[in-house]
Amino acid sequence: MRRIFRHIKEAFIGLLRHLAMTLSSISTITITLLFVGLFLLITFNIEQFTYAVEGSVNIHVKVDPSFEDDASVNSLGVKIRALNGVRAATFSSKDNELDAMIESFGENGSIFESYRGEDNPLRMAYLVEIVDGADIESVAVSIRELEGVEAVAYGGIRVVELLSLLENTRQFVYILVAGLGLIAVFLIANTIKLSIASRGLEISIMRTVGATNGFIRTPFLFEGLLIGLFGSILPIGLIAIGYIWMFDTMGGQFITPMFALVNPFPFIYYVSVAMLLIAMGVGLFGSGLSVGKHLRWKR
Amino acid sequence: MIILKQVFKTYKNGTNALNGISLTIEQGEFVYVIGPTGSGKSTIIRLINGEEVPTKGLVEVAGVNVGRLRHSKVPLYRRNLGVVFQDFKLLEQKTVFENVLFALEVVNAPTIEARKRARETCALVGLSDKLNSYPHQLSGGQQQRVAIARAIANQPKVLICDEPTGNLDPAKAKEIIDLLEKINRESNTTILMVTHAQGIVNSHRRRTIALSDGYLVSDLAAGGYKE
Ligand SMILES: Nc1ncnc2c1ncn2[C@@H]1O[C@H](COP(=O)(O)OP(=O)(O)OP(=O)(O)O)[C@@H](O)[C@H]1O
Ligand SMILES: [Mg+2]
Repeated sequence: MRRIFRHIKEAFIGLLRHLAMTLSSISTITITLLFVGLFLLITFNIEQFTYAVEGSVNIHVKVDPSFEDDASVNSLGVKIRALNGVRAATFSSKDNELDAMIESFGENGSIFESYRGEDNPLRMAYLVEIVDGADIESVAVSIRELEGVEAVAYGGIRVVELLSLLENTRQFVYILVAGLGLIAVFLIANTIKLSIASRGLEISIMRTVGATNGFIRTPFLFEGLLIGLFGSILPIGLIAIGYIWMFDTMGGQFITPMFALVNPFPFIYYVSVAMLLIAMGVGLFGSGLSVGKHLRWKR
Repeated sequence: MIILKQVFKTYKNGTNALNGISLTIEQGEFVYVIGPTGSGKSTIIRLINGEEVPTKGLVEVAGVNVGRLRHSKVPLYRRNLGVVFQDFKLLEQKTVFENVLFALEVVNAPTIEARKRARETCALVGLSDKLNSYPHQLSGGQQQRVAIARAIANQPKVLICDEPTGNLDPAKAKEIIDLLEKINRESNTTILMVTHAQGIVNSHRRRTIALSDGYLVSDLAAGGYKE
């Protein structure tokens, strides 16, 4: 325990000695981590949105009236299910379609009751669920080409576009994070290198009197950890407060009610812990690189 | 006990620094190593403290085959040795007391004992009244006393000194030798001292090993030395 305090104290001294370098490392971590936080927020929300979209994006296939016999309808169902990207296709009778229509008109829907029976002008239909919302257009085109299909319609195209926009943003942020992470590691490694260089005499005395290599290295590793720690405070605060604020102002949904945002509690705690661990990991990795290079085992 | 048997040292650049040195130093001996510049004196010290490995031959200290020591074992081995350099190597931002304490802290000595031991050691070298001074506030002789205190704080069996008086005037140098003799006498510490100072070798007669071009040219128990 006493040892740990000593190492931390020495680490602080090292950080203060190269304040400019330390601050630039810390700010790179800060910026990197902001994007890491953003990345995590988008990722987990997309996950939830995709889930919602998968349940709601489906294709409505109207059956051509001249193919209404049982054999044709069944064979159409089989063909639809055989298409790539189709998860399920549910047959919907004319009555069923009428129910859906009546329901969709709400209070005034009952005026359509008179359609029920032999004279129902609606078409038989298949409701097709697809595996990936992004494929909806191509699946719809394939279905339209099948024999016995009168028309296809699908809702939610805007939703799918939105989703793919989010996915693209996520990938962009991911690349940004990777690039910034590299810069952060490099800057931390350099900070630690300066720190090691400025302690040359101390290190050589430690070696002479028989301090172990682990003992000599530890304060420098702590320096990296501390840089990570300090670098993570601001972005964790911003991301947490920002997300809670966004959640509240947007009423817990993103543009459409279909996209329910992940509830900030306890989600934001997990994100914060993940950010902290990533920051300390990057700090440790950067300092580890430097220590490995400049404080190798030697006699 | 320090044993060198047919020790050769050739540096990476091809310099033959030592050519078949053999000698035995008993525990508690006080030995001078003399010789012209480049004769291999510092090389012997670096072999003894494990910084360098012999190209050929055996270097054994306190029963440890130093040349064969694994890297990870070197630190523990070094705790048997104290080393004093010509240029003191004190930490400027630490006080006298902290400089001595440093050597104990970094080998994990328990705090209370370490502080007690650091104070005792400073007293032993005659710096009790300078505990809170910084190195730049001390004379050269006093600085070297701090370095000696730091080297013996951990109670090593062997104290090796590479020209400890090289930066000091003769009067101060004599005081340092007196101190080393006292340490040698009171704690039976083996002392190996590299020096250029003829005056000292002749006034404080001790076993004297002379090197030249990496060869051992004389080993006189009676001591004394003339050009
Ligand atoms: N690290 C090294 N690499 C290559 N050659 C070295 C190295 N250290 C010492 N030498 C060479 O080995 C020889 C012996 O050097 P050493 O330092 O042992 O001499 P010395 O007796 O201590 O001299 P001085 O009195 O000047 O300190 C010299 O020729 C020196 O140039
Ligand atoms: Mg020398």
